[in-house]
Amino acid sequence: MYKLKKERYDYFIIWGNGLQYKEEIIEIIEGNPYLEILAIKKHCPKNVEKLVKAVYSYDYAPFKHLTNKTRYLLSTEASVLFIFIRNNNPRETYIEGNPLFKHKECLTIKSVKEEIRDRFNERKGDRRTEDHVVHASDNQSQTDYILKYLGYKEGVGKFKSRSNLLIPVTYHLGKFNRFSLKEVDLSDVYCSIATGPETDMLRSVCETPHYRFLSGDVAEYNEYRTMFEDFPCMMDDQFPARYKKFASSFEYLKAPYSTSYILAKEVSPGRYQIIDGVHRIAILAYRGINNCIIAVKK
Amino acid sequence: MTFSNRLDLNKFFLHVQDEEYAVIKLNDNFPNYYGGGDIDIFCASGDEFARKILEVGNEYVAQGFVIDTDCSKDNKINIDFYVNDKLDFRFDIYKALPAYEHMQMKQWFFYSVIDRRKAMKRKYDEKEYRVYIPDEIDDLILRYIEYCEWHERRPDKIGHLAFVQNALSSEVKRNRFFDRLYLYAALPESAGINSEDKFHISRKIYRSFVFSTRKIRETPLREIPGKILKRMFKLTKA
Repeated sequence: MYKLKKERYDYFIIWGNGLQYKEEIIEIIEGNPYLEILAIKKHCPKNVEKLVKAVYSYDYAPFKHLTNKTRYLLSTEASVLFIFIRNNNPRETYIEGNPLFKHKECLTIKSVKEEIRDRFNERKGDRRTEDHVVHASDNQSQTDYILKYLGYKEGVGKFKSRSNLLIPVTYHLGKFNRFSLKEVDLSDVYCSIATGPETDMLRSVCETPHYRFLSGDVAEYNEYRTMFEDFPCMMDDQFPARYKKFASSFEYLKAPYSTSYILAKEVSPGRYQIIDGVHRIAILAYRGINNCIIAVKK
Repeated sequence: MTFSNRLDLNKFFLHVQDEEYAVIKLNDNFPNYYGGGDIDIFCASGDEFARKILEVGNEYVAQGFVIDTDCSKDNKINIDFYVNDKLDFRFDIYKALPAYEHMQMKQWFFYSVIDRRKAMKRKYDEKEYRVYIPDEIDDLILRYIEYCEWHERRPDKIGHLAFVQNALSSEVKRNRFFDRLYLYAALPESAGINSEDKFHISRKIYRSFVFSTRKIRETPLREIPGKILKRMFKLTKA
């Protein structure tokens, strides 16, 4: 009678040998209708071996079986990208293979993972090597473990507690239950732009690095992005090329994103500061739009 | 008094026609409404229903409406449409039974109401769509609950009781009503306490209840709610 919505949290890791393809890989993941990217986190481990062990520590095969399989990783760049996702179609099934290490896998994740490997793993002759550019979780407990390894004590709880039940907003905002939808003039909207690790200033939309990037000033935006490299959650999924592509196809509040509002708070009567959506409002301003609907958090 | 009708309610209900819901006590004037009006809806998936209301609402925000949304309560989402700072219309979207003060209903009554709902065909923009409402007996039970909940503060709610009484003119229907009410109702904890403060039903009904306490003690537990209700019913009709 009533459909039960099943979901779980997974992650992909792009190893150092795949980072050159990160934008294409993210595009493949995003292209799957059941996978919703929640966060992208760059991680530079001090010790790649330790990271490999952490990633494979929850694998079903004993680590000694994986030593050969993962040896190539020790010579890759000491930088990886974690992509955390909400998996809305966990078609879990037992995969054929060594009966000793029989375990359940999600067919959705497996097909995406294999597509990425087919396209981007190094090739020798006409065959793909097994030096994988990505690895993905087999189950939610692996995601939970990796999040804790990265310092997020609450594990997958970080993503489970949605900021608001009705509207999708970035996962790191605190919970809020009340909001207003109103149409505002873009001249009444301001963006908090960081000027240093602990300082920021309110700027009009047209004065943001985001707007300037769209106008052709790439350097300021890149400089701004670099400032956030060590800050998890901030601008974690906005690569310049991706933003440019997004800007060309973005349609605000068009299905299936009809309730993906730009979120703001009212800082003084009739004056709003964007909390989530600076990239999007910069696109609207760049297109010459003077007013738009926003959600104002109460 | 003239209708507000700034919102086209047909548009909203056309957009939610695939949702599992039932409009409680749908006004005869629907889709017309007066300024400040509201509509109560039981929804199997309240969050999804609310999102669909907001999707249609976007069009009205672009016309100058402000939509206030409150999802701070576990069992309910309020979506209020304001125009010129004045409440024009409210959607009360229930995700579970309201917390009744004077009646205790089992939670699965909520899902049963949605499950047994009936469709009302409507035409809009040359398209046919359906608005869902509870079946007749559930509708009468909900009106009866409304009467019990409000009649002390809102004497005009006696209208609900009169409506129920008129609708239950046949013995068959009356039995169906009491059977279903018995199935879903539980006596409030305060019902067993002889304190007029705690038992918030009218004095007349209260007296009837007190007078029948001895009888209640001798009645098998499963028959109590039906017997009390039958007695209340008889008394108010007299």
